[in-house]
Amino acid sequence: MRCWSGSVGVLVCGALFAAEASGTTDALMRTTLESRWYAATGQYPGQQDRFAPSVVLEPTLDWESDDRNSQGRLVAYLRLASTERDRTHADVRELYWRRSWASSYLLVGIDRVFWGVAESVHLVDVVNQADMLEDVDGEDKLGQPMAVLTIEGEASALSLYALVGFRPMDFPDTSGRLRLAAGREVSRGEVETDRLTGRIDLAARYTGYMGPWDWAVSVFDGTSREPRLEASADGDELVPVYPQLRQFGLELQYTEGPLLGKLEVADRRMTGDRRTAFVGGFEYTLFSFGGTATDLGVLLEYVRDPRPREWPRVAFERGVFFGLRAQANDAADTTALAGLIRNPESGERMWSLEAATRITPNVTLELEGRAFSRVDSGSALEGLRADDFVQLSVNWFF
Amino acid sequence: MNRVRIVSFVVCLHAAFAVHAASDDPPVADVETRGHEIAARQDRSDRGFQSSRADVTMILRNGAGATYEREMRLSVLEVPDEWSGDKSIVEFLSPPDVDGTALLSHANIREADEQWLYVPALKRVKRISSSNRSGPFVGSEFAYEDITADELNKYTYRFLETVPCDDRDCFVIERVPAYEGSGYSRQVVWIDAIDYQLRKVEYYDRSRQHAKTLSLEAYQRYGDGYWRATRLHMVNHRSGKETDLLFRNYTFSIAIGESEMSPTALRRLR
Repeated sequence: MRCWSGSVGVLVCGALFAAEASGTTDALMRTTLESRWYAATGQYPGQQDRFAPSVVLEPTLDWESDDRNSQGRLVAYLRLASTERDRTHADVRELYWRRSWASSYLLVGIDRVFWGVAESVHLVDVVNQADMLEDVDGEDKLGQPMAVLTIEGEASALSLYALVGFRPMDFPDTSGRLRLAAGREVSRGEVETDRLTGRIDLAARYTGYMGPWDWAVSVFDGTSREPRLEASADGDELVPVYPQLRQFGLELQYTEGPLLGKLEVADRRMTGDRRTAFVGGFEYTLFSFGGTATDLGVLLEYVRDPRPREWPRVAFERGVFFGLRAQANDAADTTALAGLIRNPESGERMWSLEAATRITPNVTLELEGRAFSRVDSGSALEGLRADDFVQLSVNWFF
Repeated sequence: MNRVRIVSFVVCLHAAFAVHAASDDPPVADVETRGHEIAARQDRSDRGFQSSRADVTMILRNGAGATYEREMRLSVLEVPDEWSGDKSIVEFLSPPDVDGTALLSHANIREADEQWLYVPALKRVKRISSSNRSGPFVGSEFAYEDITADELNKYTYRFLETVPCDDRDCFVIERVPAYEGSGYSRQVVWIDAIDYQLRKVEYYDRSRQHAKTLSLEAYQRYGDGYWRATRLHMVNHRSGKETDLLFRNYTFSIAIGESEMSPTALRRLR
């Protein structure tokens, strides 16, 4: 079911690994004990538990040929959740083989890809499906089967993507929290796309830098990773529908001293409509803040992501994001990022906090939190409004 | 015969005294020229290495004696132009949670370097602000400006004196950072008079206090005669903290292309 792409990849990559059996391998296992506390019981039946512990296993296997020109990688992922039954899931995050030549490389298999420069939202980032059972910010991703050819110049690179197979979004079931579907059951069996069967999604991205500018332009032609949720014929549940999307993306970053200027633009065509979404803003770093070794970054971004009614909904069609980032520059690599995004029209707010430090060479500690306020009924955030939480994770690497 | 020798010895001695006497109060231009010449010779001793790669262990020691280690791999591509800095990638291998993180630097001489960071957990390459040359490098006693390449035109120089150091003489030179954003008012460096390698650096902070001392030890000669210190020992005199950088498995003139030293290439390190 959810691991189908994994089994395809195992066959492809297993054969390739076997073909080049020499070289060096490197294995690493991450084991995470995660405790999540919700501030209140949920707003829907079945959401009684306020304490939600999980165990995560993430084994990584790296292989590199002796001449360093061939590399292989496997990253598997397993979450076992005790109370939110459906957060228990497994995925193959990465399983690829990569061959490098002097100024090009080819990747075949499953990988994760990130596009973008902004911090508050990721508008142009369309290659992978988000793992919504992990978090609602879209930064955790399901592995996507693909073939990628990248051609590098001195200060630019062109990547051509053939994205094979479509991975639908996973929704928490009725015992889960953080349900974007606002308490209604989302159909598991049916996935509607209007695409032709057997079609491969295509994408390309051309990226480079010049002086203080880092830029990228991209195009994606395929099935939208975000679904629109429609009531089923009997009205009992919601059916996710994935429209066809053609998107042109632009990413720009300007770096001058302690100031970063950022802009992302996504021009999208779906269901016969065309809209342009953008996010732009600044990050200013106060180095060695207050005479300490800590750098403090101040982030300010504005988001505009207009959506016609037939399009997948988004949490913030408008948003002003304010963030503070602290980097302690200590031996434990302590960092923290706190953010608030607010819709200036509706007043809806989402608060977030992420902090991490290392307590022994093999053990790190992570604190995360999320809170929602002034969320109206009928809003895209309605299903989350009683789900404020803090979460403490202990990661053990061996 | 004997007489001749003695006379020539005396003449030499006299000449040496004359030089010494002259250096007690020499014209400013002379000490600057001399300082620059020695620094230029040090810079030239390294010219033409093309590229290098080494495994690096960083050991942090706090005042209480607790230690903390990091493993890194350092790749450097030489940019021969005296007014451009070298390009380098630091790949972090341990602690395991930062395994695969990589920092690419395009060093500049007088302006801020250009730096990109690759974060493997997010698969994200991002350009970072690097105007803070004086900040600590990953929690160590090395500032960013201490680990980036020693380029000739980053400083102005003044020759101070010649002193014995170990089995040889060292030129002692004062250098003042000419680049933006340095945390130092000046540095005093020891360059040996035989191989023209850096042996010691004293760092003076902006309030002109002696803040740190770096010793460069265990020099080894590689390839076509390039010297590399295989142990760098930094002491912070205020906090009592120390950081060692130990270099192993140096290889030179390996094939590293310009495109491998670009931000897009960071994605294929891991």
